Order: sequence, then C-alpha cells, then structure tokens
Amino acid sequence: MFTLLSEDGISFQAERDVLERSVLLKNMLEDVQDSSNSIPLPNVASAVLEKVLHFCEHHRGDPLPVPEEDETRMRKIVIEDWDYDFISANCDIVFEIIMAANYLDIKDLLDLGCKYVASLIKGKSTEQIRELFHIVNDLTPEEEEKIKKENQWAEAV
Amino acid sequence: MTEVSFLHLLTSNQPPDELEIPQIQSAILEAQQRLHFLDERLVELGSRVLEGDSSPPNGSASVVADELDVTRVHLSILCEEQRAWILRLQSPLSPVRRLPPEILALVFSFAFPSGDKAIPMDANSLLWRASQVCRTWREIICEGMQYIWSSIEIDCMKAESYNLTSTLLELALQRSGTRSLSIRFCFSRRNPLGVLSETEKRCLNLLTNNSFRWEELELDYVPIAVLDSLSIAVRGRIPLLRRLVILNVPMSLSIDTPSTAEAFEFAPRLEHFSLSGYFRPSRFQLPWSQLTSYTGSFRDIRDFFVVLEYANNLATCDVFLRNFHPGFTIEHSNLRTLRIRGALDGLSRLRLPLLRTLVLDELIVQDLKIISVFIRRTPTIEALEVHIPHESGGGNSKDILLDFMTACRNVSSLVFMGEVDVRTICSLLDMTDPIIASRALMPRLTHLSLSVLSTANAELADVLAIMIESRQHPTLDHADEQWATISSLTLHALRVPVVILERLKPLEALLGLRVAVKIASI
Repeated sequence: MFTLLSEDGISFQAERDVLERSVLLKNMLEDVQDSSNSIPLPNVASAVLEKVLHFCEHHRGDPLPVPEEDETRMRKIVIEDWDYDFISANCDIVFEIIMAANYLDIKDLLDLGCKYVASLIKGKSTEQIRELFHIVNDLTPEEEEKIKKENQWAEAV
Repeated sequence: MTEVSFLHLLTSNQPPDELEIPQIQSAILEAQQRLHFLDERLVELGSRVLEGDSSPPNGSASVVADELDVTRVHLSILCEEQRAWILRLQSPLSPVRRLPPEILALVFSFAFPSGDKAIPMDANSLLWRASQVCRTWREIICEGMQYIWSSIEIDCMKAESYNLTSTLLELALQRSGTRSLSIRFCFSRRNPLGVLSETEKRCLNLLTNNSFRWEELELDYVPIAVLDSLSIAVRGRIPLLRRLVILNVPMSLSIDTPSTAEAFEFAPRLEHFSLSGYFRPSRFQLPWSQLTSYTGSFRDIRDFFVVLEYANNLATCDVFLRNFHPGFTIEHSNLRTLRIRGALDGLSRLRLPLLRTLVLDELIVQDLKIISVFIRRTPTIEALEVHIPHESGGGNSKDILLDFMTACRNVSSLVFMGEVDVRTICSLLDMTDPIIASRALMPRLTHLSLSVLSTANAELADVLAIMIESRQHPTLDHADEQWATISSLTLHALRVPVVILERLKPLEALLGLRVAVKIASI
C-alpha cells in the first residue's frame, strides 16, 4: 500500500495497481521501492483525490487507454453506465476532476470529464453556455461586429 | 463593503490569483449578508402591509400603505441587484477559467463532429455558437483547431432551413489553414436541368479555388452538366485527391451528353471511387488501375464487370447489384475484400481467386444457398460476415445453415449478425454431438461474432459455453490436422448481456478464450 498526501494534508492509501492508472504516479512509483513515505500531491484537494481514487479503484485491471496521435479521429461521446453515474454524481467538481486527471495523467478519467462537459454544451445557445459556466463575454466591439456579420450575412439559397 | 481590487476579473475570463481568491470570497460573503438583510426587511415590510390591510381604512392609513408599497418595490429591486452582483462575483471563481487551452480543445473535440463527420455551414450549429462564447474559446476554436474546419459539409437541401451562407464557407476555408480538405457537397435538386442557385455557384467556386487542397470529395445529386464544368475547372489541380464519391447522380434531360468527367484522370493520389445514380462508371476518365477501393450501386451488372476490368488493382469492393443478367464470368485476380448486397445471383459470374474477406449485407436465410456455392468455388475466403436483418423463417433454415457452414471449411472468422437463431448456429458447431462431430463443421474457426439479445438467458449462455468447450477438445478420431479452437467470441447486443458474460468470463483463462461485447448504437 502507498500513501498519497493531498493538497490540504489528508492522507489516502491505495494499492500499486490502482495508482498505476496514473502515468505520473506510475513513473514515480518506479523509483520508489519503500512505500513508507507518502507521496505529496500539492495540486489535488482531498475531496477531488478521493473521487479520483474511487475511479481508479473501479477501473483497476482494465487495459490502459492507448494515447491517440490522430486528432482528427472521430470522437464520440459514449460513456459507460458506471462512468456516467460517477461523473454526474460529481458534476459540481467536474472541472477539478478534469484538472486532477490532467495533472496525474489519467487519460480515461480526463476523457470522461471532457466528454461530460462536451455533453453539457450540446444543444445550448451561446448565451446559455456563458450562463452555465459563468463565462464573461469579453469579446471586443470589433470581434462582436465580425460575429454579427457571420450571423447576418446569411442568404437564402 | 470590502474594497475590491479584482474588478478587472469581472470583465475578463482570467482566473484569479492566490491573493484575489480570498478577496472575492469575502466580497461574496458580504454581498450575501446584505442580501439576507434586505430579504429580512422585505419580509418585515410584508407583515406591516398585512397589518395595515387589517386596520380600518382612512386617509392616513392609505398613504402609509402606499409608502410601504413604494419601499417594498425599492427593496425588491435592491435584492435583485444584489443577486446579480453575487452572480458576477462568483464568475471569477468558476473553475472553467482555470482549464488550460489544450483541455478546452479536448472538450471541443468531443463536442464537435470531426473525422467522418463534417461541419455544417450553419450559423446555428454548435461549432459556430461555441466560437462566439468568449475570446478564449474563439481563439481555440477558430485558430487552434484547424482540423475541425477542414471537414466541410454544404447541404443545399437542408440549407433552406438555416439559410446557407457562402460567408461561413469562406470562414471555414480560412480557418482550416493549409490543411487538406474533406468536402461533402449536396446539391439542392431544385432544378431538373441542373441550373444552380447563386449561393450554390458561389460555394462551388470557393471550393474549386481550393481544389489543390481537396483530399476527399463527395458530391451528392450533382447534375451531369455541373460535373462537366467542375471537371474542366479542376483539371490538373487536384494533386491530393485520394477519395472521390459521387452519389445519386440525377437522371439528366441531356443524358446523351458525352460527359467523361475527365478532370479526375489527373488525380495522382486517387485510390477510392464511389458512384451511384444515373451515370455509368465507364463514362469516367479515371486513373482506374490506380484504384484500390471501389463502392458502387449497379443498375446493370455489366457496369460492375466494367469496373472489375478497368480497376485491375482493386483490393476492396463494396457493391449493390440491382439486377442480374446471365452470361460470361469475369475473373479479378487482385480483389481481397468484397462487400455485396442486392442480386446475389451475380456471384455466380465472379471468379475471385484471391478473395479473403466476404461481407454480405441484407440477406435472407435462403440467400445462403447461393453463397454456399460461391464459397465452395472460392476456397481462399477466410473471413465472412453475414448480416440477416429480418427473420426470414422457413422450415429448412437449419438445413440451409448446415450446408452453408459445411461450405465454410476454410473460414477462420465468422460474423453472424441479425436474425439468425444463435442456438441453431451453436448446435451446428457443437462437437459434443457425435453426428455433427463427424462432419467437423468449420474446422478452422477461431473468431466468432454473434448477435445476442440483452435479455439472453442462462440456457443460451450454457449453449454457447458448451459449444465453445466442445471445440477446445474435439473428440474426432480423424481430427483435422489444422483444427483450430475458438479463441475469440464477440457478442453484439444493445445492452451488456450480463448472464452470458457471467457464464463465459470464467472460461477465458481456462480455454484461452477472449470474450468481448460490442454495444450496437441504435
């Protein structure tokens, strides 16, 4: 068993094969033989780390996702039932989970979080997206004018 | 009120720094306390108004009530302003601000179509809407995701509902940078003589000017006259074109026009061609011997034979034969993969000595008789996919399947999709039955894929398990030297067939078997 120390000083214990879902931790563990020292994770809060470990625990033993080289590959939003329940139950911290997955390099969790956010965007208007994510419209008047033209220069066939 | 030094964050999407976060949190707390105070005053006022209502009406009471009303309205406005202020204060703390651009790009890659699917030239589609959310999103989408903009769809049929614009196409071409383009252009079919609308012409011109970037081009319902003029415009200017798809060519009133679509003859990288509609493949001047893949729907089987004759290096062919004429047979000595549906009688006229993979779509069980004959004549076939979409019944379906599977002597991979009874297939493959065992059906079978219902029960799970186990240890006295055991079983279902998996998963390690489930999308 190895011990992880979250940003806010909470310890979590997990087995090697669970932690190795994270490429960052896998690389760290290769150099660590002694499991008595805890591994500090200064960028991950305990509330998030708990969820990340829950995900890794559930997927222990699954084949690790292969990194994609082709960015143009058709990406589909297909989410397995358990994963969907997991991410929607934690939707209030989905961005924190995404950032932790990015930092810890857990590709399937990163993809899951991004797919979930993508599914939230779908079907929404520009204004609804801004409201949903508390995004400020910071476009300059020139940019606004360009956009207006994009929308207004529509012409019937 | 807390002195705010983070006002710049309220008009931008920058994340706050470590010092600004507590300031914002403190400002939110203060605003919430103020809102709470205002809410309390409002409740208090409400009670006073109610008390006033219960007093006997007189002039001064009425004046007081009016004043209370004015104050209540004023307080309500203050409360709304306070709520809006709290929302504004919360926005800098939104975690989306801290997402690095590459993560946002990953989110967008899931949200927008790419790869096989093109972006529509529709200002109401998500890609365009999202590109207008804020400056960061706009920069990422418009400048950092060129590949998204390089798959373009112009559907003039749908255009009426969203007002097609050549401006959007211009922007998409610009934002795709120098990337090669994948284009789908669906013509409007409004004019039977093939006269295009002004917007169609403008879009086509824009695309033609970029023909040196075309990698994939699909033209749907293209009038023959337009194909001709396009052909002249891009002649010698399509160095990257790899895939050309021309679908549903409408019947032309000037069908006798000696069109040859000759521009496509000078496409040094062209390797795939698809054609359907009222235009014969022989009228295309193509680098035929360069083609490795062809997809087509043939009204006349002779056109298919022309393709096989011209495209002598084809490795993959996907055809729909609409009819059959008896006659001479044709041999193609390079074809490795054939996908076929329609008038399967046409198979009797084909000699394909190197065929490895045969995919048969939209069959009925009775079609397997023709296919069995073809498979016996083509012993090189190793992989077979059979799609039987509807239950075709028939009392002799087991006999037909028996004959078919007897013919599949060299087949090592069998995919059976659709309405075929899994129990019947398993009973034919089950070697515990000595009568079947003596026939040793499909001795080289190693990969089996079957459609199962998600409601499949324990009995079906047993049938599958017993069949697979029986083939691991054949009891044949005259065991085929090349006898192979099933090493992979794929189950196609709408939901995970839990009962079957529970029965088969424990056998994986025991039998060196891999069981996989593919969930079909509806």
